This record gives sequence, structure tokens and C-alpha cells, in this order.
Amino acid sequence: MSEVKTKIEYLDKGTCEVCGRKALVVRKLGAKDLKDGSVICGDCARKIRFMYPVMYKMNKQNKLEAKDPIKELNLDEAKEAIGNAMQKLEDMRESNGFHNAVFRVDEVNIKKGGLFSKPIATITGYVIYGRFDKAEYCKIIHDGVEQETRIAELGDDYRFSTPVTTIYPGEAGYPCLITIVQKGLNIKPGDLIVKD
Amino acid sequence: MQEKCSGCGTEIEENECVACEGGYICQECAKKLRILFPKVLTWQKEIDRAGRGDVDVEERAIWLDPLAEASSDEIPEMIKRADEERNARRQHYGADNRAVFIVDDNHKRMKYPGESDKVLGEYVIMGRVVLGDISGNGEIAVSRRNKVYTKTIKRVELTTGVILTKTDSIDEGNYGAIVVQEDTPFIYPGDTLIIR
Repeated sequence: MSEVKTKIEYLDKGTCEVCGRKALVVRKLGAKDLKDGSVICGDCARKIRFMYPVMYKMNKQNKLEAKDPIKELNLDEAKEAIGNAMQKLEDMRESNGFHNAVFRVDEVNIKKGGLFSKPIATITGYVIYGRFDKAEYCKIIHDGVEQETRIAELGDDYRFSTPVTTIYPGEAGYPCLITIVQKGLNIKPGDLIVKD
Repeated sequence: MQEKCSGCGTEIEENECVACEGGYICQECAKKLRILFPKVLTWQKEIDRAGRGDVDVEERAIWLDPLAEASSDEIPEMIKRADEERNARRQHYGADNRAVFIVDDNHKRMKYPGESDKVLGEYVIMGRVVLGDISGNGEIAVSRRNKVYTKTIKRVELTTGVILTKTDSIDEGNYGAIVVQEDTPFIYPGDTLIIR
């Protein structure tokens, strides 16, 4: 009988140079390689993601491709950003009327409802800060007027060819798709969806 | 087999202690040291190379214990350093607070197959206890620029690295989750929660 040989591989990129934990690369835990070759873990990256949202650009195949600005930082810049993150977050909250989470609407598609069904709005955009979850109440700010609503579904933005690397859709700094089923919805690109 | 704790010198059973370089540490001393030596999570992948090419057999979470690399001679000195660090943190965060928790993530609980509907609507705040122990009762408080937000703790859970399991308390230096019934959109990754 042949001997079974097994090899053990660690699913991390070494130690996070900010917090000292392992920079895991498993299950979307997202270790980040920085510009100078250092590595930070996904938890540290998440703390500054709202300051460095994932950007997308059109590739040659006419599809949107992700670009992560955190990877453009060097270690000192990343450490400084993490150190200043809470201050920046408070500034953002203050400039957005102390809402707990803010989503910027980029595109809206409304499928008309029928006699017995409500219209379905699929809204794509970015979570500026905070987080959104499905089945949660929030407000749409349209031309300065607030409208109560409820998120029916929340998922990854289908427009992008690269999958977004969050464990939970609706995290700060990532695009996402919000579905709202509601009559009389006033919403257009540029509006905000906020959570208090 | 009986051994002596390298920290306090008490007699301990080999199977009830933490091994360090050249000796053993009792659970009490190990608990005191966690503030300086938190366990580190990583993942391993075991690859079967039994003559049919590389086949991924299993991925599993592993907790590495940095105390295992500490020399038994240094343990008493490390306990002193841990006490000094604890006192410094008490002064920094306020001596009246029961515990302090640093947030890694905050999300609405998803329902896994086989789980009861009761878990839906709960909010899970993941992170690490940096001072004191957190039990399933009490209140969390986070200071924002506009106000101090508080919520009641429903229970606490320990992380295995894969899943969360209910527990009576999360000890100092350990990772885990604080579960609350109501939404906590005002808590962000990187926040410091004060436990009262």
C-alpha cells in the first residue's frame, strides 16, 4: 500500500504589520499586499475602507474591473490612515448630518408594478460609510425631502465583472445593489439612502 | 503527571495547563498573560499527494498560542509586565468600566441552514477584549461626536475561527462576539466599546 503523503499549507500571507494578527487569505478575509511589499490583514483594511473605496474602471472587454486603492499605500501611509480613521469617520458623519450609514445612488431601475403588485426598484451605488443590511428600515433623501423605506434585498452589484470581496454585502467602501419594493418611490441618481 | 506552574509555582496537571518553552503555565497565569499574548488565528490547508496529483483535503482554522514560545524562566517577569499593561489600560479607558472591546466587524446575523428563525434580527459585533472580561449581561457604550450610544448585551459568543459558539464570558485578550437584539449602525470597525 502506498504511503499517503500530505502537505500542509498556511492560508495566510504572514503577520499583519499593523495589528500582529495573521493576514488571512481564506473565505474573503482579504489580506492586502501594499505597494512596498508589506501586508495588512482584512480587519485592518476594513477599518479604512470607507476612506479608500474600491474603484472600478472599464476594461478592454467593456466590463468594469476593480481597483483597490489600499494596495497603492505603503505601510506608513496605511498605519497613519488607520490611526486617523475614527477622526475621519466622525468628520464624515458630521458632514452628513450624523446619519449612521450613507449610500450614494448611482443608478435606478424601476419595474412598474401591476394591479396587485408594488413597483420594484433596483438601485446600484456605493456605501459611503456605515453598513446596510436587508430587511432594514432607512430613509431616501430626494431633493432634500426624506422618505421612509425598507430594504427588501441587498446584494453584490451585478454590473461588475470582478466579485466584490466582502463577506457581507452592504459594507462601507463597496458598491452594492439595493432592492426596494414600494409604491410612490421618489429616487434618482445622486440621492442618498441613509440609516439612523 | 503533576507539574509546577512557571508563573505561580502551584502544582498542576499536565493536561490542564498551557505548555511553554521548558515548562508549563496554569490556566490562571495563562489568563493573566493573554493581555500581552493573545492567541493568533490562521488557517491550514491539508493537501493529499497520494499519487493522484494534489487534492485539497481539508481547510481548517487553527489557533496559534504565542505562549508556547515563551521561555518558562521569563513567565514571572511577563506576568508583572501584564499587570503593568492592565493598570495602564485601566487608567487610559477609565477604572470604573468592566471591560473594553475593540470592534473588527459589525453585521446583522445571517441564518445558516438548520438554524432557528430566532437568530434573524440579531446583530453581531465581532472583535477582541482588550481589558477585563465580558459576560452575557451589561451594556455597551460607544462615544460618537454627537452623542454616546448604548445598547444592552444579549449574550456573548466565542469564535472558533469558523463559527461562533455561545459562552458565559469572553476573557481578556480573546476574540469573540457581542450579540445585541437591536441594530447598532453607530458601531464601526475599529471602534472602542466600553462595557459597563
